[in-house]
Amino acid sequence: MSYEEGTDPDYRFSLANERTFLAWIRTALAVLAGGMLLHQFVTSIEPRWITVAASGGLAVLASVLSWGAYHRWRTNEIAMRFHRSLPRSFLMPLLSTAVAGLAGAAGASLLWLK
Amino acid sequence: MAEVSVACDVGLQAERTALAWRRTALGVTVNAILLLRLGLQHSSSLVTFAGIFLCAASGLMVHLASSRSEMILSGRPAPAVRTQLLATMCAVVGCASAACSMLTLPLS
Repeated sequence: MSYEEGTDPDYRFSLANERTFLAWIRTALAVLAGGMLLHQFVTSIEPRWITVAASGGLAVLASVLSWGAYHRWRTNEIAMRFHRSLPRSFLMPLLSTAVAGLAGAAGASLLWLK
Repeated sequence: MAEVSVACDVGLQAERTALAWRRTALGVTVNAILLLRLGLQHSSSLVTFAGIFLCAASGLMVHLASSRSEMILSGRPAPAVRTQLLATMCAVVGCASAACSMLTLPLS
């Protein structure tokens, strides 16, 4: 089942799918920028490898999100072309887990470092 | 009447999509500048060249965003958007991969 086959979806839905892709890409870019800022400007956390691991993990998350954005766009486009229901994506549980973990780690470090 | 409402809808959708492209190009540019700063700060030629390359790529992203915006706003665009989306994805993945090289740099 290729991207080129099937009937053209409604113009508005194609544009909405495109905007969804761009929104996920911007999320990935924000995560990446957060990782780079964490690496460059946060020097007060003592075991330094924690900061390095966190910023590297955020960069990896940004790569996964940007690939997932394209994958989701493509599967949505194919589903619309063949009049199927939109498939679920791994992106939302992944992002929820990652942000929850990040917030938990940040909160724990705030409490621990006083 | 259905024609008019669809036309209004299309106008708003097209404008929102064009703005989304421009915001995305801005995001790529910000990250490219951050990466360049990181490379210059640590005097790492690898990361500096990656930053310069990504600044050039972000210039291309800005151009791509403006041309795609024009195409969307003018009328019905060709659905040949796949290459542009792939290019966008590659720009972000390239940024993230270069940022992962931070792990090998001595830290400030």
